[in-house]
Amino acid sequence: MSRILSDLKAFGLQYIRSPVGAFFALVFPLILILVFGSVFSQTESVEVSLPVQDLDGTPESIEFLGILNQTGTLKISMIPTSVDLEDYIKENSLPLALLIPEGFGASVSNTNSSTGDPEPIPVNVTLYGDPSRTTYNVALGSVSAAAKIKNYDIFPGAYPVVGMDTEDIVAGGYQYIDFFLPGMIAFTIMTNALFAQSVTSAEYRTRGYFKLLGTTPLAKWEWVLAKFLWYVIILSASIALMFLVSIALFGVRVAITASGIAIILCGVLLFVSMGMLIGNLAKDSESASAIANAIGFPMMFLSGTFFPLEMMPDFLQGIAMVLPLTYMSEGMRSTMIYGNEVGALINLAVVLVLGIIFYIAASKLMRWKEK
Amino acid sequence: MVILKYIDTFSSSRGIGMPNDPIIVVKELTKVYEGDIVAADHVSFEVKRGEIFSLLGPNGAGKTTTVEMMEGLRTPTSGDIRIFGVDVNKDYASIRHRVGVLPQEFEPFDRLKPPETISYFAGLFGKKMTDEQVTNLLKTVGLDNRAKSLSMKLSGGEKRRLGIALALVGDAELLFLDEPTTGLDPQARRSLWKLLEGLRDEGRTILLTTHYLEEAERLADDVAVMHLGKIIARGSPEELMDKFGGGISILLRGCGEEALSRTQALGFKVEQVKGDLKVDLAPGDSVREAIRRLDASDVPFKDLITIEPTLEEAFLNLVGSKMEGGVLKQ
Repeated sequence: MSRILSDLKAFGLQYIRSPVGAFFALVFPLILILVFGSVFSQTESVEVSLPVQDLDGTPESIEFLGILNQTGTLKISMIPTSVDLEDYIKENSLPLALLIPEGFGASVSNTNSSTGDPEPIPVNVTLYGDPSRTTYNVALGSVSAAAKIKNYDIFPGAYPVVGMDTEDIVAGGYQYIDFFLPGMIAFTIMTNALFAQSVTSAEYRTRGYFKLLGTTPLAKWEWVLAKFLWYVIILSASIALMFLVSIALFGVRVAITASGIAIILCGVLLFVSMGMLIGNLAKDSESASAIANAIGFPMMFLSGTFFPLEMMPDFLQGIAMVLPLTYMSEGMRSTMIYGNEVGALINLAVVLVLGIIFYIAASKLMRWKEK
Repeated sequence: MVILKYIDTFSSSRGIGMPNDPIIVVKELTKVYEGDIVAADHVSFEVKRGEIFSLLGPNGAGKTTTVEMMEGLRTPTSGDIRIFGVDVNKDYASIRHRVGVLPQEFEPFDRLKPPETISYFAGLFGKKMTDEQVTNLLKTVGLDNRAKSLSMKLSGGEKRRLGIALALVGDAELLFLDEPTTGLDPQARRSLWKLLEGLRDEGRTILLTTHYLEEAERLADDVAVMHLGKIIARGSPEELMDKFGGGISILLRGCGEEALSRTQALGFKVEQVKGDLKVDLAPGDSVREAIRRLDASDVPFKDLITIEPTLEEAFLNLVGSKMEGGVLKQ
């Protein structure tokens, strides 16, 4: 234990004294929060995916779905009618969903029994969504436009038959910054652990530090554990700072949760190990840094840190699914925004398993003693 | 009281057996790397307590491989290493704290100051050093005036001194120093030699590898010349020079033209060097006897100087080529 503490202290001193390390851990995340928090605008026209649960299933509701599809802004997918919609939304961390109630078709095609004239009864579809997100407004506009078209078909010029209710699927009004912060935490863990550790490991190898430490009683696993602990410490400080600034300047409302902390710890393990693996495979610290950048930069932008995954085209979403950072961001958001602990745990499991795989690979490849 | 004193003496010597027993015994040590590269080829030697033992040889002779096997950093292909009587391959951990290591091309951690680096290593060895102990160790290696600098700001010689301080953190009885002065300027090298002599005088045993002949000549009590993975000669520098360096020469200065033939007439092997005469004695010839005979003869000379054979000559005779900066010259 004293060996680990000695190593932890010495490494921490070096880390803090390296201007690059301190900058990326403590200053860079704050810059991004300031920039994205104040600049991010809500104007974009993209196809928004809208899962729909059609409990009606009559030609009328199918026709309404057709109108929704024709708006061109929505990509409709179906939710099975057998599930409870609110549970389903929570379990899948859905940012948006539409409910067409049972009896929708009967209402709009109702006829007066005595006169035989059409006499529709007003009926509402329900849009579930998170008003803080840009995609919500797109869906809101499109669904109400579709309702207007449908009303015109039924009763040109008369009173509206199809209306719309809205349900917030998150507690309280969240803003973009609330969406951004959990992703930002995942992002900061990835950049710091991956970039710093890959260079550190390569440097320790090429400059003979591993050999030097190999002559002391310090064991390889103790060295690795000390690195893990250091990144937990420095990144906890970084996360605390991010919260402070976000609360002070943007009134952020999300809070850290137990499963969020578990995801953070597993994420540190994953990206420290990945950094060690790169550092041990690369020729020197320059190429280690290049490899870490080549892996890290696509992850930064494709893992839903800065904007929701569902806003990206399908093929990019496919890429996102193989990027480990995606699971960290999604897990953090599931627990911190949606209170979806099941979804958070699934993502946590992915990060943990990947973390263990990378840890084993990295320790196997790390040469403390020479052959 | 007597018993206590006995135990005290025994435990302070910390060794197994008598003080004159060798501290290191290497037998038939062989290391074959991938591609059948033989870095060490049946290397055997012993190192006695309290001496400076030098593995001398050009780059690529197998010195570092040999030392790293002794430091537990590499696994031998075959052979046996015993340090303090312990089989290094089986139980290096039990002697680790008695051994200090300066790796080849040692570089300290850039962003730690020398005292922090020392405390760090003390912690790794499970020791808690007081500030005073750290300062004393810095004084020992002559770095007490650089305590406030980051290690990256130290000169090459100062970095090596810090490395030696790290090797001493565990109060090691045995030091492995792999090319401690390579790359240093002559002044830094000479001051490091003084430090190493001081450490030996404190009773520590030092095994150092070097490709500097003058380093081995100046420091080593015992030398093993290593070439192509094999030890090709063993002995003190004096023994090696006697055996392989040729005999002692006597330089007669300021002698006249007739001196050459007169000296030859006395039965000496003589050659003319500029205006002087160089008389080469055969190995084993008595210098005293030769001087007496020259003095008593009518060979005219103003002054007489004896020239000792150098390790450089011995090395040249052993390996067949000169060595400069660790590289053999054809």
